[in-house]
Amino acid sequence: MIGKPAATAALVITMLLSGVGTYIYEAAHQTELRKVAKAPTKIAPAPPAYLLSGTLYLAQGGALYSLGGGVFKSVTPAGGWTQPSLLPNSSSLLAVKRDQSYSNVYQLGLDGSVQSQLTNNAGSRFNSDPGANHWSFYPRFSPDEKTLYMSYDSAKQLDYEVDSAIWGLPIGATINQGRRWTSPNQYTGGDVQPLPLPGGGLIYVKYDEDTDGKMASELWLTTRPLSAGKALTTFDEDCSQPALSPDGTMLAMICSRKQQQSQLVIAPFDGSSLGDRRVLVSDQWVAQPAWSPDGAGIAYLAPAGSGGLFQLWWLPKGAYAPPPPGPSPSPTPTASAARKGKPTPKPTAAPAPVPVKPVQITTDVGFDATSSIAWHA
Amino acid sequence: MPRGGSSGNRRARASARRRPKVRWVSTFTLFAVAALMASMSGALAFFLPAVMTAFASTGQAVTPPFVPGLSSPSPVAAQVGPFTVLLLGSDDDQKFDPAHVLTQSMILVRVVPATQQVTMLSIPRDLWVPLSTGGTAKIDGAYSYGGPAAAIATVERNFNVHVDEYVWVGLKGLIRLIDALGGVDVVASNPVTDDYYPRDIDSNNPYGYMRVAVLPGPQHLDGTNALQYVRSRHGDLEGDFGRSQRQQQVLLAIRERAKHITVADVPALAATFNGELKTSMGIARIQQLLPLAAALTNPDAVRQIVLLAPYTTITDVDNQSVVLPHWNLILPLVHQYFP
Repeated sequence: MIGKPAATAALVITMLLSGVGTYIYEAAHQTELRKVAKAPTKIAPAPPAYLLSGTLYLAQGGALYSLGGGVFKSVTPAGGWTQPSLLPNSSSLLAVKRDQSYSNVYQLGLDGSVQSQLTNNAGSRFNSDPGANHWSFYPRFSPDEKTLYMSYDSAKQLDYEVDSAIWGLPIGATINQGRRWTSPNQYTGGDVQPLPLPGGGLIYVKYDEDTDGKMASELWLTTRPLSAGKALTTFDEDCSQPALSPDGTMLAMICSRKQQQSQLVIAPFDGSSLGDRRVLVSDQWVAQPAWSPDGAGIAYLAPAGSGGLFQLWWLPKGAYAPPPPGPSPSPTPTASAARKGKPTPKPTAAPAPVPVKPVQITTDVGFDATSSIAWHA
Repeated sequence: MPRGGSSGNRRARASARRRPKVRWVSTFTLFAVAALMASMSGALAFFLPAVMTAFASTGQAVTPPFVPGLSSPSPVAAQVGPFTVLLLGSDDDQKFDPAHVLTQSMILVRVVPATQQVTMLSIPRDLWVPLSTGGTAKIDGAYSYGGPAAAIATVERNFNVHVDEYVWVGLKGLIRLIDALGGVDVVASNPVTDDYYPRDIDSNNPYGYMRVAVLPGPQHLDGTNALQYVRSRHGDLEGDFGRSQRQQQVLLAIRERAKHITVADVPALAATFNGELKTSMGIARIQQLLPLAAALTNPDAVRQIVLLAPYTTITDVDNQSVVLPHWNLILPLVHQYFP
């Protein structure tokens, strides 16, 4: 027989457990929607990271990080840093430092130390007009390391127009000594992502609009400042983020077909035109392809799963350039089998090659998908 | 008092045998009822933010929250019939009287669950129409003069559609919604640059301007950057029409993220809005529609409509730039997708 006090206590405990338990149950069933990106230095990359040769440079949350030997290291602290690219001799980095109203290009040591500021885009302190500032993005050095190419919004032609053009700037010169290379379509955001070519000229991305008011991008090739140049891709392909393979014969790019999707596409490049397109990845939100310097594959950024933070992925070369098939096995009829009149064994078909799939290198980080990946041999 | 005879003894013994059983049954019942009430209290405490938000946002009766074991999970999406929602977005910063804001963004959304078809029609904010509150003016003024009822009535009368629900969101509401969802993934169609973007969020001077540059390509946007992407219009060739395209893009991205929401997430989401979101939908309706978001998986089943020329013409009326509708072209289009 249970006494009254004990029964009351049991009742109270039951009610407490039920009430709190239900609250906790509901709370525990909330979806983890708001994932906070971890710093790359706080995670252990997946084992394939150890197989990536050289050092990759990536941006996250305004900081630059390097990945070499399977380990992430901090290159710069958070401070608006983005879009790293390597000098052709790989001795130092170019990167953009973005402030609220302007951005500048800096040359950094591979350890992140600032070597020089290459642009000066902040407006005068005495000019309160926001339009007195300028943006520089997507910096790349020419192969001879004498010219800095970048997208840059020069003085406005029309009141509200903020269209970038591709500019070439001799190293150490001011923007007044620079040359505008391209003529952007007005009120499209302009031309971006210059890719200087070893033989001179550059590939860049131009934006345009169709009759339905939809914007899309095309890759263009130009060989001299302000020449008309030629389109390498069509408006409907909607391609951007070009990356040239180490041997200069293939171009990787991101194509969206004017949809909310992105595909990793490669095509042969002969210096003046692109060959047949080949879609390598179509089921992810792919961004920023970067060829490994040793030609072993392509790294890119994409969320894991249906969306969210962008992770680093690796697509081995076997996915787009499978090894040539070996000699077909042709069984030799044995003398004893021939003597016994047995049928000659049929040659067995070579096993179908196992499709090579992308490998996820990082989890829980959130790389800046508008920032290129630089890859040092 | 003498006890009864032998039959009385038997009754007494039987009663003595039954009494503990009866006591245990009543005790168990008491505990069960107490536990049930405590569970409901726990659930109510969990859903309280959502309930309060619902009262504050809509003023309508709120359906009791979902309690595990007491109600079945949300009905399957197929059980929801076709419906039309009017989405309204306002600049509701300090420059404006909170009770009289314009709706800079107006999007009619038609969802047909059976076919998974989604149609989004952006209504130009400068569309010159008769308002339900009287007179002819830009359509973005309807909400300012008469709240959601006037905005809905104006849209219904001019476009000859029936609006089932509405959702209004302010600037911070959109930021908070997207942040609460963990950001959205979009392929930014082009560099969206603007030298005169309003500096009116958490600013001492809401009349100030700032520069924005949302870079192109696939990316993960937080609430602030997503708002910049959908709100900026100065650097766009199509101005307001251009940003309408981007608004529809981000709307689809929000729907994509909403696929991951369960009813247990509703309180946390509701708590983030703090009056920056109003809707005619109660929690039960939201609970009913959540599975639908997950069921709409076919991107080809989404139709996006922006009323560019020839559906409209930009002209000046009374010294202001307005968008004149060509109803002979618009109404057949609307009738086709919003029957």
